[in-house]
Amino acid sequence: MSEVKSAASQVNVTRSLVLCAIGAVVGLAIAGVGLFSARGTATHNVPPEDIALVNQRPVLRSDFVTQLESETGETFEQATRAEKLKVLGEMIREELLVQRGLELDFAETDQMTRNALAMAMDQQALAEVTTSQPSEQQLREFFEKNPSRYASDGILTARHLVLPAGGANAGQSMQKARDAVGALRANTPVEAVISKFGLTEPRNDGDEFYFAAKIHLGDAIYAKALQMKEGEVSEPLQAADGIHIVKVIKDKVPVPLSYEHARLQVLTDLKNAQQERLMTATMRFLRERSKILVATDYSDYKP
Amino acid sequence: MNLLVKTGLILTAILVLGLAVGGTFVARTHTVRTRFLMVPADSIPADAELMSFAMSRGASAYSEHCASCHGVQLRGDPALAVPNLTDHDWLYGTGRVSEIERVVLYGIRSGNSKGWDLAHMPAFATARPYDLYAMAPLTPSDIHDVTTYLLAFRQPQADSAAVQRGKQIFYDTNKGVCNDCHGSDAKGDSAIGAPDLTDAVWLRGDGSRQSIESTIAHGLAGRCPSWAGELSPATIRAVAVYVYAASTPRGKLE
Repeated sequence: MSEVKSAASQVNVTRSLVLCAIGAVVGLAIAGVGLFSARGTATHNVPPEDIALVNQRPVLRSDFVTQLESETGETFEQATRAEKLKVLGEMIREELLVQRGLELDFAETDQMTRNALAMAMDQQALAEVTTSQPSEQQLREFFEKNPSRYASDGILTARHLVLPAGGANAGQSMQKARDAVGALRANTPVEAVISKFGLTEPRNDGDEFYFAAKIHLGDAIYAKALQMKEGEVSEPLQAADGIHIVKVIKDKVPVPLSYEHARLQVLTDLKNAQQERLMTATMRFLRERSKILVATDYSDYKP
Repeated sequence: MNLLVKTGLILTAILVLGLAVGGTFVARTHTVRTRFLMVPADSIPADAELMSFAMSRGASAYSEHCASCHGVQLRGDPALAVPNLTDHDWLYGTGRVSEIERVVLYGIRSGNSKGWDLAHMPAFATARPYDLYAMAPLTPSDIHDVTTYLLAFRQPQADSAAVQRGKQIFYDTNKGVCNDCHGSDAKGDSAIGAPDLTDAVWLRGDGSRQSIESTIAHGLAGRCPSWAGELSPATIRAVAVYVYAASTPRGKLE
């Protein structure tokens, strides 16, 4: 009995080593195939949501349907089998080319790829903001912190007349302009004043939003116009291109909006602010973890 | 001892039965889920089993991820230009499940390059109404006239001269260019999300002069997030089916 036990417990060294070696070879072979065939630890089943897997990268059925419908102009049901297979072939081709492009590191060398990547990163910040809806309280707080942003549009209606430079001498021109101002203040029709005093009117768009009036009148005259009352005529304003006169016909000043009226704009502004904050934080994080060396002749560079 | 064996056998039997029932349920669910994902999305409404699979999942995912904007009743919020999902008036596409699924997957102006982002409503009361190309701002009178033209689609307007001026701006390639997106018949273009301006459905506001003027003046560029990568493909499809069902009259679902 004890002899049997001793025989059973005897270790066969050769067999152990052979089995161990076989195991190692099989392991190495699997690893080698995985490493050098670019197939990785491949699954042989295509998940139901995908139409194909290209080196384990999924091609979504939904993308397939969209591409098929956009290429053929038909619904998925209307498309023929041949059309479906053609689109599938194109999508697999694209995936293969993209993967090869990544291997070749096109992100480093191809400007269009770089632009697309940089833009995608910008958009990622947007995506994170878009998925979260601010609460009513957040909106109200933002509104209350930035009341000046929320007002109705200011609208200015003005006549802008110019006595062009280069005619009579400066003193005579100024006197002429004063006479024109006097006529306007005496309620002479603007057209009559223009024709009597040889004035020009660069443009007459009727009512304009403040921003447009500012562009058309120029900063100085616009600022002057905003200080005037409706019906008031300015003093002659000397400028390089001549003497300017403004008559304010109507000025609808902006009035603060209630929260209810401004809610949509508040939401947009808050989301834009959140996006900007997120992007700033992302850039700070990227800078902090990066080693950026700048040439000595640009040592004054500051992010 | 006998009792102990008997008890053991009974417990084992219960365990085996439980495992069998559970396994069958899991296998069944897996089969339905697989089929749910593999069939063309537009064919799901005609399949009672798949509809039943989708509705409860879709409802809970909608409630968690979409209701904060579109509302629990899916009716949106006109004050914030959040569309009503129950009226079968679709900004993008025609309301097919596959089209809704695409919106849930990639969003609208979501930052995902596969999402819808071809155009947005310019803000005509600003110096640069549109950021994609040059476009002239409109004056307050222009906006008033275009609004009068749009209101005339639903109700005759007393100021016919304003209607004519508004129509001119609507088609003016140097000024409003409204027809470029909203179409020559003003009925919109679902390929770019431009709404029909002739019907009674308004994305923002109530269709009053004030709300139309405000939209023309300040523009619109609503966003819908992309859920690709955040939610599973099955959940995304379930949400699409749920929204489709909410927008489709009951009779048409069967």
